[in-house]
Amino acid sequence: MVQTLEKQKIELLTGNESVATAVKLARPQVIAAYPITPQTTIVETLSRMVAEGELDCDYVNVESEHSAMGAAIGASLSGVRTFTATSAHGLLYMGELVWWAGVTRIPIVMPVVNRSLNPWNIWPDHQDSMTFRDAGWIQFYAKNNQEVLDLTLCAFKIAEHHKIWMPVMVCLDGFILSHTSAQVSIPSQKDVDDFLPPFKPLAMLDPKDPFAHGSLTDSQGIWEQRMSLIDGFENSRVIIPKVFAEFTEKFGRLGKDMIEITGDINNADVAIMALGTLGEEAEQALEVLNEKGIKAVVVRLRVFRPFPKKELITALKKVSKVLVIDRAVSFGNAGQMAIEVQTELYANKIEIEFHQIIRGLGGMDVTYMEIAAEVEKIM
Amino acid sequence: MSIKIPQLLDRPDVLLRGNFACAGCGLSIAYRTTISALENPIVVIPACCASVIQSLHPNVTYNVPTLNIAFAAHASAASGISRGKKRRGEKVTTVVWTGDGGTYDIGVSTWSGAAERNEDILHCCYDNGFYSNTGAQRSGATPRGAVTTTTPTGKTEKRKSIARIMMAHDIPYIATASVGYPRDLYTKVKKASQIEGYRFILIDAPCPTGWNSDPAITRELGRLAVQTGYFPLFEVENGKLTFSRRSERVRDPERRKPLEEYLSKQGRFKQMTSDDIEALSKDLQREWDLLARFE
Repeated sequence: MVQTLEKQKIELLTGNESVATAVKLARPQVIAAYPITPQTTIVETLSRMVAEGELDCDYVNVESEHSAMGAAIGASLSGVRTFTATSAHGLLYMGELVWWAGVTRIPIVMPVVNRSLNPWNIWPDHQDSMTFRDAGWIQFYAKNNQEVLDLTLCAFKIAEHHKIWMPVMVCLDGFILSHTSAQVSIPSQKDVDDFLPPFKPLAMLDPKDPFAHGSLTDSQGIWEQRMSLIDGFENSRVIIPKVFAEFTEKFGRLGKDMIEITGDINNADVAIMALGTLGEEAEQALEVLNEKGIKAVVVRLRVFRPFPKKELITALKKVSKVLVIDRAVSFGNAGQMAIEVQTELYANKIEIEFHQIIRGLGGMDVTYMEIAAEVEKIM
Repeated sequence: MSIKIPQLLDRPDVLLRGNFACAGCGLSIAYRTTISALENPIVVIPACCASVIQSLHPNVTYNVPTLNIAFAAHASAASGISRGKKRRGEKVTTVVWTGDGGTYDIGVSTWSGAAERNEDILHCCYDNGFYSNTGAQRSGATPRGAVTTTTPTGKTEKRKSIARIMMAHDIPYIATASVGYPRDLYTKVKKASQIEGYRFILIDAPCPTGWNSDPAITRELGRLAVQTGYFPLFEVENGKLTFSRRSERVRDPERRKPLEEYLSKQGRFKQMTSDDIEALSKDLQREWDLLARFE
């Protein structure tokens, strides 16, 4: 049931161009960013759009990522829609302020173009964004360039929803998406304006109504603020699927769920779980497995924060085995997703066979053949 | 511009009663005088005494919109506010209010970037020459010889010249002022508020708690700092430096009050030998000479 009023253009865009295109359509008023590989082409594209008058926005060329997030916090609190983007070490360098934006609830949208952390390596894994899964940000992981564009547009609407009012990180795999071109459907400006109304501040710095933001707070105050943040995440569990549903109805793609299931879950033995492009790679493995008589499905979390517990459990109840593939490690324990999936299985008394592997660190290629072979091992 | 002291209190409500400032707090005088002079200020405060004395959330004794932000994020956050408010068509004065730690040390990158972009920000640094908020540790602004909790036998390096570093950024307005002369401070803030772009005012703000001085003589210490040549007052407009009247008067070292008169009123300088005082004195004269090159 597509209600799109205007025809969508189809263009060949890289993941980073998909981000920039979505951002342009979202009409932010302030962008503050600092370049880092592989995020760079996002900020280059946006700078060009601003310079050529395609996007009416203030672009602040800050001197570091720390200042990028600082300026984004200030701009958002001045009462305007605000955007920044980063990767890997940039995310770590702005880390203090990523937390500041998270726990004081500043509705900034920030793609993280996933890249491995030190020593120098510019290729993708999820160690950077996973390190910030606890920072009070909503986190999306995109599987292809179309989803990058769609999730970025949804991110603004979700961040700025008055029952959420929190920052959103849209994660996309460096190079695999950021620098690879694919066909992307681009909605018209009119339709996006209809989907995403202008920024409406819930609170802002205003000389007519002075208040202090982020001031010294005692334990009681911190407790109240943390509980409110937890409530915000609970609200987001309800609102994210609603926004996804609205987007789907309007633009004819995406789907309303926080998780995407590929394959017939009602007739499957094993679920493969992976984030981002690894999830899409796993989809390719299904055919290979099918030929070998293995009935598998892919359960991909598009939303990692809030962790989509209910949807996940509903899905995993229907299989007898699960293989979780993480692209990051919580050193001293296991892959972050594996840890969280195990928690839900135990908490819900779901006794299925659990398997976990870590793959693709530092950009190491993970093929669908390899994924199929890993599934075969556990069958 | 002729300003009478009572006029400074036209907006006596910028800093409310019940704040946590110590007796004789120089920062409080600097804050009241500065913020009183501004139209529609929005103040960004990084970690410093000013982030603590405003009281505990949800109470607040600053009667102007205030963003408390991480230590090294003041000028970047202010850049965002200044840009955003312009976008919204709202006329405000975006103020960065930092201590010397935030300006001389940890926040150099953020303000240097903002100054290079010539953001429309008034950056005020209340300078007490050490980290007062965390209990008197050394900063880049601590003068040679001063005892702090991390230089227990006295600092062995000279104080950084933040004004000269700022001058290298070619911003439209730089001034130094003192809580010893609130009228001069007020006039400079007014003047700065009428200029667009990145403006910087360094304010000498005695801290009786950390300096181990009598809280009753805060303003007197401010005046002595000027009269002894310890803290020269000047303005820099378009790269040209002009010493303010009170400092012009003591340009000739012979006309200055003895430095000892200033040092002896503060516990932090008590252990200094005459050689130490001589070394500090040389630092101060060298700074005067370097500043004079920009006249």
